[in-house]
Amino acid sequence: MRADIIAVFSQVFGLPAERFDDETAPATVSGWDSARHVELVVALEEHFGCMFEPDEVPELTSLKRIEEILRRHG
Amino acid sequence: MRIAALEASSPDAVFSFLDASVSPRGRDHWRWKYQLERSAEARAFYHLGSDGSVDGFIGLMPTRLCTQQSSVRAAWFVDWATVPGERSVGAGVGLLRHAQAQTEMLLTLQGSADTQKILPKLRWTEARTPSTWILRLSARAIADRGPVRRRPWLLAPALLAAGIARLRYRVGRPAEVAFRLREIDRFPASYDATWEERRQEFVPLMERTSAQLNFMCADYPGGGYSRFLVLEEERVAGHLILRCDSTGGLARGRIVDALWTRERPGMTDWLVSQACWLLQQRAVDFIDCTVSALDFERALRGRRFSRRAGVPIWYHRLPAGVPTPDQWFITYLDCDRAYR
Repeated sequence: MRADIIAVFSQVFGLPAERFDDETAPATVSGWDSARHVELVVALEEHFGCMFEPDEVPELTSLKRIEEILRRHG
Repeated sequence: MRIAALEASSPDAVFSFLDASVSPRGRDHWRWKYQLERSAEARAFYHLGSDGSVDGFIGLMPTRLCTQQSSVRAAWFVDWATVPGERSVGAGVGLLRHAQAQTEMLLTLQGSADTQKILPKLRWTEARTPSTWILRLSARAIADRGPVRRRPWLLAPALLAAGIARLRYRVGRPAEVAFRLREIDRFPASYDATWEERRQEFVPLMERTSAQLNFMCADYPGGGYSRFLVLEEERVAGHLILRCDSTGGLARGRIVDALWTRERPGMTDWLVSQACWLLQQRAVDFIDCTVSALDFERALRGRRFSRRAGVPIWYHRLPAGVPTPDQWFITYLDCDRAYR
């Protein structure tokens, strides 16, 4: 799952996969603003075939947290 | 981090956020807009960040879209804002999705530059239908255009020319006909019978019951509205709502909303002429109007209004059987643009 999440990050932010790790967060990735966050949410939902709950969307702000939430979605 | 409903007892921080991030209108305005003392159903939501501070807000203006066959629960989303920076990333979309879950059909009119950037990414669709129309009545309003604003030395000759040009736009007193207007303080409950009768001529359109009209145009704490019943002989046939305020140093008049008997020849032209006459009597510099109805647009053109940019309606999904927004009757009454 982690590799897939990183692939989505890489595609959304246009950066190599090596740039993303547990510390990945809006403060560490240039260009992670509200508009880019929308793209990330939509790309993750499309890739994993899920729909995040409204309360979950603001929590998708680190690679680690995204992985936890996606695991919850099965 | 959590999403909470706005209530009368919500912390001051939420109202301060609204004044700072949306518009400095004060608590009375927000209490009115979100019906905090009256409505059992939450009409606005805010997001609390991990440090407990407010970092996002979204408001809803609930209504119903009436079609030939049915009526659908709908809401305009308004006042969508987040604090800038990485702290609020995701709060806006979370709030929007929360709002979507509250209604069958979530919409917005116009939207800020950021909204227009984000909504397509969330697969929202834009329908560009209602146009804004303007009639400049005073020399100042005619001269107050981009080229003159950019070159102040042009102002004196432009005002001179506009003083002559304005004669072309003056509105004469409408001829006496079988229709007349009666100014009222509030719409009586009996108006709902007229609404039921008239809406079939205007569908699809949003609710215009006496309660909705009074909420929007009589209870608004900022005032400025005038409300009229349209009478045909002594029978109530529809309504007209006007508004006066000021913007950019000019007195603005607005044709906010109207319903009328479309089958009566001449009634649309008469209604537009009456509205313009009344607003001119109130010494407005210009009149503007948002409308999406061909007969009304024809009447505006006949009164020398100029068409300005279209106003986009954004929607996420349409329930089965609901026509696309380019077929709806929309005016300034819809959403919250009448007082903006």
